Amino acid sequence: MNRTDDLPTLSEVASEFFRVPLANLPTGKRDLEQALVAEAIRLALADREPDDRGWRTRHILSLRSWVTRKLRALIPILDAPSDNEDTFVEVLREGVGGNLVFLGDVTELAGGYYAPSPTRVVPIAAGTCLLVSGLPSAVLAKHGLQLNVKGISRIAQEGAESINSRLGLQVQERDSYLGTMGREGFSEESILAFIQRQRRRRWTEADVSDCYQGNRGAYGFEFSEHYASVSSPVGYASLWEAATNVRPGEYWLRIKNHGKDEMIWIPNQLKKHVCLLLDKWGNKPRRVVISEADTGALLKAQFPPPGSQIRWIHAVGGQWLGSESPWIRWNVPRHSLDSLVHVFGMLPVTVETGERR
Amino acid sequence: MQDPQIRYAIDPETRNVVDADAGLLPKKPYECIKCRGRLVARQGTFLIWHFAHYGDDEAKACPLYYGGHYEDLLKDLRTSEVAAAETKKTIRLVAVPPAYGRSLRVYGVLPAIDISQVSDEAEISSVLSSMSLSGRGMKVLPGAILFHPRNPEVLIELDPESAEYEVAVETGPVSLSLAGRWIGEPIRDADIFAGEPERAERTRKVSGLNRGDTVFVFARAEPRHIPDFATLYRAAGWHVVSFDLDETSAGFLKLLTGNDWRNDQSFAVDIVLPPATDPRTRHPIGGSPKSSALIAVTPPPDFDPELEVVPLGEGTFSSLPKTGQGKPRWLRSSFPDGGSTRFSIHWADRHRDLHLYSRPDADAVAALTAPLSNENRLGLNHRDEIGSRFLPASSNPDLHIPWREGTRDLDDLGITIVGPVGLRFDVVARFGGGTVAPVVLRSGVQFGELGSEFGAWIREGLQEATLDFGPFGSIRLLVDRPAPQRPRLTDQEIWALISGMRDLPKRVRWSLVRQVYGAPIGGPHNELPGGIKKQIRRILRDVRHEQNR
Repeated sequence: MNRTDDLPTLSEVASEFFRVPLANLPTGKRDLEQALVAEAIRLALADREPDDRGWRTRHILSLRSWVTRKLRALIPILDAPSDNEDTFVEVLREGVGGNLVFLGDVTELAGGYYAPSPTRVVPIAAGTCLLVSGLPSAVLAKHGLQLNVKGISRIAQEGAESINSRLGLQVQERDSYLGTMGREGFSEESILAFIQRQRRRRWTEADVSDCYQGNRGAYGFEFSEHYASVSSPVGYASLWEAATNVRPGEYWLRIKNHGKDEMIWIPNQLKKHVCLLLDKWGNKPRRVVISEADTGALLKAQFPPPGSQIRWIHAVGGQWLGSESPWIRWNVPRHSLDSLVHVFGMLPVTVETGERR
Repeated sequence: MQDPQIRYAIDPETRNVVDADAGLLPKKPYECIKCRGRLVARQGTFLIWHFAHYGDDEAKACPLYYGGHYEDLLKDLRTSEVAAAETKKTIRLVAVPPAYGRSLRVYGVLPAIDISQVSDEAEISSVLSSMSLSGRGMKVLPGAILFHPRNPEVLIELDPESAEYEVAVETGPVSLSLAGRWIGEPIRDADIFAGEPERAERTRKVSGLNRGDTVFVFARAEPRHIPDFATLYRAAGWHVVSFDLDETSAGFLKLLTGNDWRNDQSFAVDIVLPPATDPRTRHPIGGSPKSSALIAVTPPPDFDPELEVVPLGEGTFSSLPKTGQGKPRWLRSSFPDGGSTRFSIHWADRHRDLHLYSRPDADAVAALTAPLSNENRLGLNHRDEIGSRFLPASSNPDLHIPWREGTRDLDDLGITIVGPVGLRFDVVARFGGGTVAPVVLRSGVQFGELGSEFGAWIREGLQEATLDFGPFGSIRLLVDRPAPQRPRLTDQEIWALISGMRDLPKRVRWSLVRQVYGAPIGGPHNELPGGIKKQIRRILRDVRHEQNR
């Protein structure tokens, strides 16, 4: 009855957790560990009595205790979190790009509580969609969904409309899932409209610190004390960091036109978009190259992408490959290429496709 | 003269049971496995290492002081509290707090019929039909069917005020260990129940409590002060204080019960499989017949003890192979085809009972969650004179809200959030005038925080506000403001317009009013000045009168 001799493996436990074939689980140890932690978080949220509104919420301390006790014997680092490495928090809410809150599987509530998010599917390509849900995978597998576990995110090998008609799961359009500030998107036209609508005030140097230096060949958005402007439809434009004692984390767009020297408030959410637009106006647009490769496909961006694009890269199962100046690179699944072209096409950048690496 | 040959004792540092032959440190204090009194290691007249009590009067009360039967003693050590209670037919008491509210319930736990003691389903039916139950202290006498072996245990709700608990079980001609008179001690002041937030069992051994255990202390008098970390419940006339045990709350435990607690080094048991089972649970664990259970048993960091797996009832114990200091040991088990498998993990004087039972009717994971179609929704509910409708955030809907004078908050507009308590979202608000900036951004707001500010925004010329729920989508609220009112026409102007018509209308309808004022058909009436329908009716009558003359 009881056996004590053979040690379990991560894959063995993972196949019990997810109830999917081993071939549909991540192969790398780190990715598999993250997938297991993500699934344990979904299981911990499911293992809760619903409140009077029907939501199963759990405090982060209780969630951490559940997940740690579930997996610490297999993933010992969970039991010894440090400032440098805290796998539980990375998977839940802090991992760059790929974490459950950012990808939408889990809802972060006030007071340190978390709840599983309502289930929906987001189309990726024909016969493939992203599953966004706080439900454990085994529940969905039981309903006949063929899941491909991509680390923290999960891909359903079935079209969104088919799932909708078969299981009644809601289809969420990609643009809705990506989130666009104020619904207008981040195209050149919408950002220009934002700039034109914003109230202007007289330029005050005391309210700003450093100025955006434009596309200088590296992948970052470089700021320094030197003034650098480009000619734009609204005049000579330059982007400035707000002085830390005035509005930390926010930006000002300086516009000089017909003798007027004015500034417009730019929220932090729009910083990267405005930088990309200035690069385009300065005839040095940033580039994105998406090409097929032996291991799927390669995505190279000449800049750190804004939140919506990062969300999609990780949602479709992209894996960060590191940076190689001037590029930041991800390995992405081949079936997601068209969707990535669409998502990066929303930005004022040049998107190139086709060449094989 | 005390017996010179006590062979076993507890090492207070490692909590291991040690053999007197195993290279002892003469000056080190050891603990008696029976009375917990102090023992010292000696090499007496016969030059054989052994333990002896330190010799005070208290020690003389220990049965081992005058000699003991060590094999019996070891058997005692290997017997968990649960096993001991069932052998003595003692009703175990558990406290179960409510999901909501403050009224706690107390249950007595009895085992179900041991499936190994019945031959088949026919015999189970026969036993259940002939079973008779009686007793005292119960709120409701349980039905015999609850003792069916498919149930892991039988919970009987008890009256917390009862002076005694007794359940007499008669099982007819079939001889079962369940049959007989089960007794439970009444609840007393300062009784401690320990376990999980959802269920805790009465314990007499404070030394057996671990850091992180949820403790429920029963008290007749309401404690004067309840610290922030504690919750107060009621169970009939009892005040029940609950808190998680740690070094901070240990002082409160002492205040309530007079008992000292320190976190002795103990091992941890984590349920890894089945996946959906709370890894910390002490409840019976249900699983599909013959499916796997995987349990990690981890000793404290500096210890590498030999832990034992002791079956409850018949059977012999086995050892968990050592894997190194603080390293997990693995125990694989499987769920029985029917009934229960029960065992305890044992180290020194510590036990952790595990109860696996067959649950063929449900998949453990799927049973946790509602059907997909019943899932929770996230978005807004809008109520107007037509009715109420739900707008899911994931479909990015637009909601037109009519502008009204004196709108104070979103509730005035019939808008409520649908989502969990504490849901946060971003708001991008756009204005077309007033003193507010053209675009206002609010990050991480809660619905309640937005309500009154929204009313102020409407007064300040809000045109639209997008509630951005991140990956859930967004909902745009569009404020429909009335167009500026058209200036009132004079009687002469209306006279000229009506008299110039080729055919005078027979009646004054709104279409005529709009025609006179040059307003498009179908627009809101409030863009036109008040009382103009009567004015036009009067002038139409005068024009008709004039033309007839």
